[in-house]
Amino acid sequence: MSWEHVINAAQLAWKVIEDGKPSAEISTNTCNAVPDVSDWHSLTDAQGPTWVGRKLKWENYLGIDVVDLHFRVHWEYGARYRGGGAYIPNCWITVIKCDVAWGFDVSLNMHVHNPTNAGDERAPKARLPITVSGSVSSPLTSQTLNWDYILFGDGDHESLH
Amino acid sequence: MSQHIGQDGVPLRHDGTPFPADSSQWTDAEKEYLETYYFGTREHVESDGQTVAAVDVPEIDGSAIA
Repeated sequence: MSWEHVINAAQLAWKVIEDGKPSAEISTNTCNAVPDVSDWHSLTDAQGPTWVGRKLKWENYLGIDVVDLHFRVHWEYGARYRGGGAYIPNCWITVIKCDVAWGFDVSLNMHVHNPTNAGDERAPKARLPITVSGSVSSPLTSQTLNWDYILFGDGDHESLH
Repeated sequence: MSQHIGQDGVPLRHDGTPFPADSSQWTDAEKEYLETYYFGTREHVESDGQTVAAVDVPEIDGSAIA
């Protein structure tokens, strides 16, 4: 155990949208990227949250918006351990909008990958890769959804898609 | 074949009745119509994000560790 090793001390995966509706799991599940020490709860000076997300709309050829979806991944950043480093004490996802028309189904899941240290031994910077994936489907069509994000402890992020 | 949509957004058959949810009850012509017009979609995706100024990453005070 040491502060330069960054771990996720919370959940690894959960349902975000199930059967076209926001899952109850989003209200209780979080992930994080914290030092691998027993007193990581003593992190201080967290800032934010900031967020990254997507607004998605599927319009059919009759001019109807059949799927209207908006989600955000939020994370707190800049948390210090013993006055240093930049960790992520909390990360969660919210569904701001999820309207699904007759005949369509939407599913979405949150997957958290192993966090790493993007800084150095004395000044660790948490790096937390996550994937939001799922599908929009109907009895006759199906489309896969997949977005990869890397969240950093200093508040920065990368969207890989 | 359906040329109408009900007020609740459910597509209607030619006779004005809603399509049943069970797709096995759709005729081949109805499936073709639904696949082309109702289930055929154009996707619009928009990124949504907040950009914040990255914070400094100070060194941990190792002497403070018990």
